[in-house]
Amino acid sequence: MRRTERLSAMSDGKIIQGFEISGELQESAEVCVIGSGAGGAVAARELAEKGHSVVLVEEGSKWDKSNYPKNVADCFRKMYRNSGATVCLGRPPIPMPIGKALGGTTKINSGTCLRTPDKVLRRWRREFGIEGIEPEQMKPYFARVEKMVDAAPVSSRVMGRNNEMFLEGAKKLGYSCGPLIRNADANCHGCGICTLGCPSDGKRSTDLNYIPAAVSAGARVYCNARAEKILVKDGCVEGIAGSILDPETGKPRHNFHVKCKLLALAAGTIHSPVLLKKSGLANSSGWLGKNLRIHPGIRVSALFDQEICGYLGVPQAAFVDEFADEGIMLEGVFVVPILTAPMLPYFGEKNKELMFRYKNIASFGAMIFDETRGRVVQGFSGRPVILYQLCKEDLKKATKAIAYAAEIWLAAGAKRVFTAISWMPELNSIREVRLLLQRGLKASDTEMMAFHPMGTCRMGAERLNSVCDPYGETWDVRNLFVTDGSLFPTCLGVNPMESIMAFANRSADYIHQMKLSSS
Amino acid sequence: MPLEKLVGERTRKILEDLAERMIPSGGLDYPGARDMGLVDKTLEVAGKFPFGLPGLKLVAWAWEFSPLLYFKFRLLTQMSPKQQTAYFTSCENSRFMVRRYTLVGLKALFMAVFYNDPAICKKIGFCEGSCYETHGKAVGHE
Repeated sequence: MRRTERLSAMSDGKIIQGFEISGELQESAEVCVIGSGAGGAVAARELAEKGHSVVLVEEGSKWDKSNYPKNVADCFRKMYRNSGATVCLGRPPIPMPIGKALGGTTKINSGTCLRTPDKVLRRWRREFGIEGIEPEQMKPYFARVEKMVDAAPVSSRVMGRNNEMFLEGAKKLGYSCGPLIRNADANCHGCGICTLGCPSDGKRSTDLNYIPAAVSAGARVYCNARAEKILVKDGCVEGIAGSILDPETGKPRHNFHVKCKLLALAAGTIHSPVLLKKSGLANSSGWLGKNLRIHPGIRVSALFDQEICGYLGVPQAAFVDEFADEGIMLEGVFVVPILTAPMLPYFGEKNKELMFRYKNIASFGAMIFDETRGRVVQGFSGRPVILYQLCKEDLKKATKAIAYAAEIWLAAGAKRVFTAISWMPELNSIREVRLLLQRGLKASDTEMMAFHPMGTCRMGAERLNSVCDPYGETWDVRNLFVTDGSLFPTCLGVNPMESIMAFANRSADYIHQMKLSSS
Repeated sequence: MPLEKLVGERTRKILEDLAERMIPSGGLDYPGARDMGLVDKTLEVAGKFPFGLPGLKLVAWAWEFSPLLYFKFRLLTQMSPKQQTAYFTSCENSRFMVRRYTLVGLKALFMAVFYNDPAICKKIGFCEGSCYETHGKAVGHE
């Protein structure tokens, strides 16, 4: 017979990994949090520090500089969902890597911290009736998050030549640009592999700030614990059930059950709606899993005569926001050779020639504020399937985004600019940039990537066209809160990490004051 | 189990041809697929992922028969290296998205393994300064 482990609600906070659990697990707490990324970690910490008992479950493992994976392939296998091969199906198919580790996607993102733009907050109030999110009201939440994650502009010490060159080009053309703000401290050496986790712990992902703070306040954190069902009784959350996974193989080893009064669901924009669907909950409006926005992105690389050594320095250290009104934001991006090679055009000798000049290659990204609405549906064996068909308006933005980035590279002195366009794999002059703008793109012409899924459990003032109320509580189930990026009704136009954190903080305050204060 | 037993001679031949077209060999100073035993390394990496090896075999055989779909009337391994390159170029320039994307996938498969090799990283100048390898050492890995 299996041994059942019972941990009392009064036990001290700690992080428990899958291999430490030897039998079926029964837990209970006032609040259960699913997911330890930007949303879950903040909710867990805020509620634990306010004196509530908190249990957090995370499907991934705990990684830090003591057990950092030994090579790039291992990083992908261990820290990414589907080893980094999550793809939005549509035309074009868009890869969208998502993190699976303690710290969630904050563990493997670039760490950019930007506040939700004021006009986006006002739009949400105006169009979706969401009250209490005026820029002035959100300011304290942003400030609190920024302090906690050590947000600061990227210093020139770790800026890297790749970003400097792009900024030089943008300044020559008179475009608005500057260094990005990110969550890093003095331990960041600019080793350039933020997206493979951080080997120096210089990037302050949530497993280095919010989770330890939550644990100090008594929260119990279970790694390798996958939530599979949300349990509801009389329209109110009762708990969750799931499996403890083998950290190596990812296969279920034991069952677990957490009994709770309130659930904060922060499994991410892709997995939160699927978990709700699997549990048959929160879809009376029919909007669950719909309204997916992803900020589709394009990489534009360039070849210089001089060495750039783009791998030295923070990959995402600078931005050009000149075109924000057109729905385009340019941000730094430079990746390790294994990701650079396939994204460069050509194969065989021509591609190899470029790669053997890796030091001379520079690269920058462009993300577009998408109007397209994708959706997440439940596929075979409950796995999410992401459907996203790029609309014409977004294709126009993509064309402009490539043209603007290419123009800046050429102004910076690049000899060849590489686009991800099938019929124009490289540009060598402004004349060709203009040709691109004239001719435009079709969906099947481009290769894109995305990193910012949002909107699949959107909040709103009316239950007919939203999944959650303005504080993230689902309309259909009492005490079931969504506290991740899936809440956002539209795309943000900036990297979503800080917005997710601020909104999770706001939800946690609401939960404390309105839901749990009596207990 | 040794890799030779998991992957037959024919599959290996297909993989070798595919790898060599993606990253042609050029000797010690300018290494390519054959110079560094890319197929063996790819098989080793694929073996670490669930369904990696069967998936790789499927990819290899799909490419082997794919020329027939485009009226080439020859299997890939029956083509000369020049013909194979011409075939891949037609995939790269195709307006048919699926064809182009399968080539990108094939590139990604071999290039991910090839450029993950520390010796290749050094050759292209990646492992200088504060890069992954230096940090790997700094945090106690070999």
